[in-house]
Amino acid sequence: MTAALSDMLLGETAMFVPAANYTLWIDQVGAFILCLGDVVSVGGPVSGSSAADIPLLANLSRRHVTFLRSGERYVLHAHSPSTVGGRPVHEKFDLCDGTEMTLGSSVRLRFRLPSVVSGSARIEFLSDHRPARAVDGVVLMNDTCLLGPSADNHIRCPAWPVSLLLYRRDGQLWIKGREDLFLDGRHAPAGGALSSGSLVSSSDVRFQVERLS
Amino acid sequence: MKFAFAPEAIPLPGYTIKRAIDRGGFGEVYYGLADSGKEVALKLLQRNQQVELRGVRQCLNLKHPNLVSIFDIRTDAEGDEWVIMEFISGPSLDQVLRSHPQGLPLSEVEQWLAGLAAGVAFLHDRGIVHRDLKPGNVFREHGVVKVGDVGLSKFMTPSRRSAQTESVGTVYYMAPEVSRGKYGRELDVYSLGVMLFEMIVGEVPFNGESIGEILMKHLTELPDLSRLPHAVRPVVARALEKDPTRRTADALQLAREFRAALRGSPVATEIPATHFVDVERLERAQGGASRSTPVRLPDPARSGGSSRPVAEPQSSAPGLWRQFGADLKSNPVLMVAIVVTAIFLVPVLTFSTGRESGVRVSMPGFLVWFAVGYAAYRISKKHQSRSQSRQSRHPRPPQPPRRLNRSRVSSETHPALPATQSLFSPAPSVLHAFDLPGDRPAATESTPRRDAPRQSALRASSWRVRCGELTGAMAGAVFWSLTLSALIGLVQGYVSDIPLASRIFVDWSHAALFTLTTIAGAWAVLVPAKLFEPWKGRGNLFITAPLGGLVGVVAWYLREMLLVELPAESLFSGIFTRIGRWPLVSAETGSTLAGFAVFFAVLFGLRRWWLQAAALRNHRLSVWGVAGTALFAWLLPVAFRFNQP
Repeated sequence: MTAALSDMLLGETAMFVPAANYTLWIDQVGAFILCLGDVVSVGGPVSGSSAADIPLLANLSRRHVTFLRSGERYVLHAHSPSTVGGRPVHEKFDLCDGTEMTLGSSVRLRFRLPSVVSGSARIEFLSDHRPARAVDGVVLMNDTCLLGPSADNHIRCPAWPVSLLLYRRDGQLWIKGREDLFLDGRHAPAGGALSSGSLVSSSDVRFQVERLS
Repeated sequence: MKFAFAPEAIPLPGYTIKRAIDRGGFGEVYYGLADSGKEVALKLLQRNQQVELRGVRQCLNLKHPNLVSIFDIRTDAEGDEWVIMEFISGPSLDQVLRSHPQGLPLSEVEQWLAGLAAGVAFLHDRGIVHRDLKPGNVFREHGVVKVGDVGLSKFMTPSRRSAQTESVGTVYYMAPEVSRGKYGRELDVYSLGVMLFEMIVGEVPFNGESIGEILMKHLTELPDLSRLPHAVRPVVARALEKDPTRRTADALQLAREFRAALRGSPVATEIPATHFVDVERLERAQGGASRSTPVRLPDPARSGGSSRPVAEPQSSAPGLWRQFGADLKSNPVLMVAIVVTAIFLVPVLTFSTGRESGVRVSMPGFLVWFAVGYAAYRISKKHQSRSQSRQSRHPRPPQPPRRLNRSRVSSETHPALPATQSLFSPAPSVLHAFDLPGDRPAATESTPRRDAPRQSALRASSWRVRCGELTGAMAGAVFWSLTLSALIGLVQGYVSDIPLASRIFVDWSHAALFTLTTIAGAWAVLVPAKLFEPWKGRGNLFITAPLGGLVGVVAWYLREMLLVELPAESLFSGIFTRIGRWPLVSAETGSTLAGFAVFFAVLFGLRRWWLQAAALRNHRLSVWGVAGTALFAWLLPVAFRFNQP
């Protein structure tokens, strides 16, 4: 599976149709990019359709590296000079929790798997390089994404009393959480489907989902 | 948590809100995007608009790499004022300190201070005082420190230097002269000194359980410099000088002195004598602890002879008293002698018995007893905490907490103190602040940050330190138990219409039984609380109930030894009059050994006494808790027969 995807990625990239990415604008926490696809590319500031999923304001090539998810595994594919622990990455590298990598000469990222109950991962920015708009992190979402106060959430929201769960169903993003949850102003104690522009709120939580073009 | 504007709102033409950043003292701050895509911070002014706008307008055209830029001031359709500012994506110093509860590395402190000082010095050079410097207003982005929230800035014209009637800012960083309405640039230097102390130690120098307590410490108490590295103590001491004329001259000088101290440069500062009396004397008392080489700053113009050499003798009466206090703190033998005198001698001299009133205490005798005993108790506590601080200086340790909550308190967050009201002046407002309901900083948002490191500090505290604290607490329990007995004796002396048989202290044996049982009970609470301190001081009834039973046994033996006659009848007949084959009362002696043991075991087991002595308890003394316990003890014989005195 990994080899097939890798071949597809490294060979005919035009065949690959990227999945949706979202930005979560979270009050008093920050902004996080939520990538739903199995393949997420990181590159330099190129506009248009050839831009990477995560275009950083950094001296990187158009698609510098790609994060590839295969089941529970994550693999880093380096298309341009990149290092992990000071050693150059030749084609691919199996990522584990806490792996730090350097893209080009100065972009430093850390790969995290914060939750044992979820296969989703988080990319943290260690250097000052960010996308054009301030983003605090990237979540490579597998099936679920946890937002909450403790460190084992993918997005840590220190002031929240309890965690909320984002999950996929039928190719769509859904939320499940607590009794006093509101979706776009409507009471939704059982949660509901999210789309671009959805506003999730409760007595002490508020964030908006925005689809990235 | 509720913010006035939702994401995608456009309160001002050309600016779209994406999310809320925070809520500050003067209003809400949002992250927004201009139509062009430019990131901005949008600050909605909701309170003290005039104060804020006045300051912001002064700074509108200031440009400096260490200041957060202000782009514009706009008014929305509702008439609300907005300040459009540069958005800083990096963390605030407050966030950084939260992740470093034991303080930052000195090299990092130097970087923060250098950027801070450059920004503040630029403001001062333009005649502006920031007035609200605090970690929440300082940020770092791409390695550049930026001072934000200059909305409280004021011009330093002579007419405005005094006669200010408003006092705003955050109490932890507020200079003492604000109490006199003085707003010179020295107050920014003081705030920098507080932040410097906090960056190194991880805690502010003046902390307390209420706003009033913190303010009073700024006005009267000296910072505990023993927690700082030796080389930087003089630098911080001068920055925290109470008298603004003796304080470090300006922000850049503070940064220079700090850098020089770190590098061991001979350039340092003349040390204000008052700051170093305690530390130096304590170190001499330690017997050869390393002493700092006196370092002098070539700055006679600023100091103007106002600073005294460290060893200059003080001949005034207050000086002699201070000298006596310092000697007392550094001389445990002398202190123990006074404590022993206070505890054993004074009550003997002040107690007496009367044929009608039982044991009684005269008012002068009680006052003398309390003054001497309390002074000895306080000195003992202070000596103990300083000794612990000294023990843990090398290497830099987690600091065992003396105060429970170190959360931030600002005048804006205090519901009973509007920002337009002076927190310092007039002085009575400070004193009233002690009495304000709900003025504990624990109610503010940052409590978790404060308690988590404290809990870990408690766990890291050595057993030697813990034993020392326990000894002090047990001595304190003796003092307070004797005081309680003296108070009862005092009341007995004044109340004449109660028959002798109904009095609590009929004679000396009753007083001794009550006092010794109280001491035993207090010790039975304190010992397990200290033993379980690493686990939040939580005991449980399986520990406290047997200890209570033990206290009951001690009380029964004391009664036997002292030949105390307790009443043969009880107000309540009791549901249970025996446990198994052991009766709780007997017709001859009243309550039996089993009766005493059961009464105290139930009292200790069900009242969750460990909460009253837990290290992280919210209140030092819960009056309602004590009253509830008294009621519980009075009602307990309803279940288990016990003939109470």
